[in-house]
Amino acid sequence: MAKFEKIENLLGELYKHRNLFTALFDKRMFPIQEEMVLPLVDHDTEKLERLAAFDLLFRNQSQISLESRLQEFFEEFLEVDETVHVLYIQENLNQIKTNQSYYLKENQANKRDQYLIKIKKHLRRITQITLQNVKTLRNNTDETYKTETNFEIKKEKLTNLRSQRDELEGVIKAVERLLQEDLFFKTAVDAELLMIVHRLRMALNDSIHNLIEIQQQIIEHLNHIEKRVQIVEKVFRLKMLRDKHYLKERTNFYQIVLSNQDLALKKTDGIRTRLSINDLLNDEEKRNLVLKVRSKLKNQKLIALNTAGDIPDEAFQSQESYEQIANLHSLKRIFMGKNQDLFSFILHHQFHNEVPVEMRIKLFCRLASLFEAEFTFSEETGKFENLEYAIIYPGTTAEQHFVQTN
Amino acid sequence: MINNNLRTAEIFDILSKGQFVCSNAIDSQRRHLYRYIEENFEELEPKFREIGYQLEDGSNYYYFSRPNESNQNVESKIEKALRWLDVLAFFTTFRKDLCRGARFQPYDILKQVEINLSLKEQLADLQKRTNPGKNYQEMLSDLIKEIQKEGFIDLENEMDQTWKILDSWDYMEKLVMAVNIQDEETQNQPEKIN
Repeated sequence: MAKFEKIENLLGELYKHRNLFTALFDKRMFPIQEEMVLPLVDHDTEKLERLAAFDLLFRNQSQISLESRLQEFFEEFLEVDETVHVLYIQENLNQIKTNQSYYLKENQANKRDQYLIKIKKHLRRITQITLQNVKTLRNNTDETYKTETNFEIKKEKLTNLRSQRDELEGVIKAVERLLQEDLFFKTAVDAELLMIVHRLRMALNDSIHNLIEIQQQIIEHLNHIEKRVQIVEKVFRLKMLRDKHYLKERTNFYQIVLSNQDLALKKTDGIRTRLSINDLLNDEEKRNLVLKVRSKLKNQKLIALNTAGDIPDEAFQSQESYEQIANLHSLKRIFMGKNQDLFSFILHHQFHNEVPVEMRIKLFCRLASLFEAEFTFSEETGKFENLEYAIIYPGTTAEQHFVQTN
Repeated sequence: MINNNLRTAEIFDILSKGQFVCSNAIDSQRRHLYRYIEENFEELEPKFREIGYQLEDGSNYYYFSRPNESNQNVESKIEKALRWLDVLAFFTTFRKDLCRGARFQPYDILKQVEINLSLKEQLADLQKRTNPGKNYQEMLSDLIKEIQKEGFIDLENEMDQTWKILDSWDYMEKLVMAVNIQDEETQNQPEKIN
């Protein structure tokens, strides 16, 4: 395996092929075919071979990808790491403890300084890693909940995230304890070290708060899933019972549905309303609507057949005719007040209009038969032209008549 | 004031048809209506109660019930509820985490129908009465339209045929959760609907 002699060579190589590395990093989630990146190395496969020999690339058959160390390096520096590294913190913590022990035992000042520098480096690392981890954990939680569609996997992923979170919290607490309890950090005189420790403490404090929130979120998500699981199970169980025709026997499904009064479950008949006739007649808009509906009707011919013809002119001429009818009752009343026989009374009575003799004779007969009971029929008869008539007086009895005449 | 009366009439129109007003409706007008009911529930509730309709507050959706109606079509109620159970079972078989707010594409369901025999049978059962002799795609699209009409889902994106499950979906789930099964889960009595 080829090895770089100097760091400049490594950097030079990376810089020379920066387009290639950028492209590979951008597509790190997918398998990349070698011919796709060939244009980036001037179609020179030997260059790819060389990079692979230096362990910067990984080639497998015709696929190509970044070497994993390089990828992790990029991810970490660009803070796009998608995995939570609890062990990194633990490792740095161990390193601090080791170096601290060396430092305390070492007597030579310059060597002690070297140990101190290492301790500072690891402390700074912990600050970075912790913050990065918390951020990643949070993103992963949200993303899992929102995008994972497979129910079982989602639940498992969230459970994993929860244990990752617990581990992370454990390590952070361990670091906090170290900072708080160890005399070395409490009594340190190095101003830079104090500054670093202070920053770390702030970061840890922040992280713990974030972790508590993440925990609540994960629990909420898991509870939600748990509730979903219950619903899913219930649906399947009821469906199974329904398919086996047990639903009526073994559940209260029917009772619940019957006692349900919600409109969603009922067949609703639309509410019927009538058009206001007043509106139809008076509202211009509605009148137009009527015409519109009429023009839309398909059976135009039928409508044409159904229409009436023009109203004929005669209809406008008055057909009225008059008939003269004498008011028999008022005639009788007038007669009753007269001292005259009925026939002469009728013959000479002044009507409003001219009444012919024949009509008068008819009236005489009518009055005589209608009010027979109130008139007095005398034995005598009179003669008029060729007619013989009974002489009739007002009053019920002849005596009355005589009383009146005398 | 006139505006408010119009809103009341619009709300009545929707709810009296047995529909829901959901907070996550696709139609922004409906979302406004939801907010309006939410803000004016105290006023609206007695108004509707007076004419025999009870305004019910689901979680993030509203609907009507008619508490004192005597002549009910019992058979059609049972039929509808059974159908909802079938619909829920079908969609749950397709994806277990499908609930209010979730989105799906008919295309994905069809892909599942091809490889999942149970899903295929359920779909055929659901549509056998209305659609004999149709293919699965047509059956599915009819089914989706049916539950859209009932107000449980709506089309969010016509271009890529993304459907969204509305808050009213919860109503069907609550109905199912309210059912007790004998010999089982006697210790786990689910709360009553509402």
